[in-house]
Amino acid sequence: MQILLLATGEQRKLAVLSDAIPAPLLPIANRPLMSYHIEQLARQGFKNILVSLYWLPGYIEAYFQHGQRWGIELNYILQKNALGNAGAVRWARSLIHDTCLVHPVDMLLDLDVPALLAFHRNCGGAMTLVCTPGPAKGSPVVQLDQAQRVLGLCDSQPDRESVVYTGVLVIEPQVLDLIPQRTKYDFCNDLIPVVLSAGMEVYAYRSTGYFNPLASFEDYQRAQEDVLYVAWNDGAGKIGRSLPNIQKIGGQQAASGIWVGRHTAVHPSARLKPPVMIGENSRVGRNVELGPNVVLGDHVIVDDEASVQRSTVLNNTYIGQLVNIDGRIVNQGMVIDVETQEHLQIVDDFLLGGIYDEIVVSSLRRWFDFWLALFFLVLALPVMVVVSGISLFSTGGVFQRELCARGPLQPANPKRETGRRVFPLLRFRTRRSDGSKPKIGQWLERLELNRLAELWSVVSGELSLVGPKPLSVAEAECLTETWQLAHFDRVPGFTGLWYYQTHARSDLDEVLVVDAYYIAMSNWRKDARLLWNTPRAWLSRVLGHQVKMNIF
Amino acid sequence: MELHDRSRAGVKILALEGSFDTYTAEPIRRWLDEATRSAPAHVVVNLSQVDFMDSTALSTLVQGMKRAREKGGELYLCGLQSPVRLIFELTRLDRVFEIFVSEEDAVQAIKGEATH
Repeated sequence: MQILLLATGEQRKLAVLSDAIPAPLLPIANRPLMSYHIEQLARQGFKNILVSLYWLPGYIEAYFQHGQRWGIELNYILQKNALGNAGAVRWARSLIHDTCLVHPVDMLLDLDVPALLAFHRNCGGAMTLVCTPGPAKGSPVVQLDQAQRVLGLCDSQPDRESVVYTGVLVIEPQVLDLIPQRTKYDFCNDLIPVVLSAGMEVYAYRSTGYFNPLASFEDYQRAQEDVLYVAWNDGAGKIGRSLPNIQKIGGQQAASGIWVGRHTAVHPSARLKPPVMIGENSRVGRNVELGPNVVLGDHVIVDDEASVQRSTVLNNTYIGQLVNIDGRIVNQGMVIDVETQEHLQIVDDFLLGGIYDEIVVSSLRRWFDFWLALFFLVLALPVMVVVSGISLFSTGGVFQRELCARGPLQPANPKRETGRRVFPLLRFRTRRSDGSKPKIGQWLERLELNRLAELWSVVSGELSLVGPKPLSVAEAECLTETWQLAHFDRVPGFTGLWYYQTHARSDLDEVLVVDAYYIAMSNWRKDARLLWNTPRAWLSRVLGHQVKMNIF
Repeated sequence: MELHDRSRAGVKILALEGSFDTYTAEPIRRWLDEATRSAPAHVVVNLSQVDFMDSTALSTLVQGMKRAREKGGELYLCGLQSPVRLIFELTRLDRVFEIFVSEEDAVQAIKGEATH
């Protein structure tokens, strides 16, 4: 049997959260949702798993990689378009040769897969739907006959008697050919009616294990609590509902029902009521009240005298002094009410906010840029004096300014046409006021000596030493596609990969591709090498050679 | 870097093998220029044997796609290995190219495009 996990995130469950964090990575007791599924499957002996990705695929793949950590092999199928759940399976058709278990990851379900497979083989149907008794909001109700054959699905409100479909199914590969290619297609609304009307049989397998559809934030908070109660031996009896089958939980149990991650400091005066779980590198301040039913993520700060109950706080969140959080899910500045599903973005960083590493990194980088550029400026001063003299005598002026654009879009700024920060890029003047270019000006441009004045823009903070190519306002306006817009994530640079791999005649797309690659792959070591090798690159450019250096 | 070209049902297919970077991009650029000279230029580049790509490789493919579209055609990619796909994702170029699992799928899709 083959297994396909649907991690496409198309359903947009828990939308406000899953827009920023892909649903398969949403933490349940500080572990990504999808890891629960992978562990369950690995435990039952399934070593090869296919994963369909669509929304924020890079994050998911970066976390799970090829599954070595679980002793299994994961392979990914990337979708470019939203295809629905059936469409996603059709998209993977060429990799499916056997009976296939299709399992969405945006829910929690304890499933005995060998028993399900035996049931499917026994019945001999084209599909088997995994169903569960009881009311589960948002799940379709299955109508059955005596022999467990599915007659149809309906969206009516489930009651205690009804059987609901969990989203998991087993399907025979030939059924997949009924799904049109590259079309948005749904199992419940599209494929199952077609299969039934073609006279094929669909069976319902009743799973009696734990099921949480994660259809609402209430479900999400309940899932956190369920996992805590499973791990908390003393507490398992205190909650009157079925609990998932989970083998381990993150962090050290510091006291009964209290888990604390590595490098986390809890002030002695804090009062903790189990169950409480605190992630890694977090800090709980003086006189804080935590719990019951609280999960704090990694890099969370709960400041003095704050209190948190029945809530989940995600990674990198700051909770300010005296703030009271009860029945909420908090992700940085975003607060979600578990009961009403309402959400609110807090703009006051003293109450709630995000903790960002980038602030530290970017100020360090700025410090380097400033001092190094100043150093180069002093070093190049004699040359610059000569060049400015040449500019003054040949063109009648010393500097010329080209308007460039950088940074993110600023919506509330009607005056600026590009909507981005506009800054003048300083260069030595090579043209006369009538636009003509003297011979000596052409020489300055060929030797790129006119660009030395840009060092001043680095000192003043408009440019960085290494970065993507500075774009003029007109060029910046041509950038519309997502991959191109990454260009504005970074401060443009005096030098960069573009300086090595493009030349003055390169078209804009070529520059943008090089910069997109640079932005994706760069780190401070590569930046240092780019800067260090710039004089050599300059020599190659001046001599008209192609720069061939193995930096990236 | 090895280039294997073939043609199937009017679609020109280029299968590459090895690492596709600054040092090896030139013959591929020439091949793409040639393939997109006459309309309609339907091209599939099979990257299943490519284990590394750099920025030059990406820009070669972007240029190829632009030229193919100018000639009323398409340039599709197929069979990306994980490290290569990661580069496409990081640069967000995976949303620019049509990328298929197998060469079969890519050729079918491009033929479907041609009949529209």
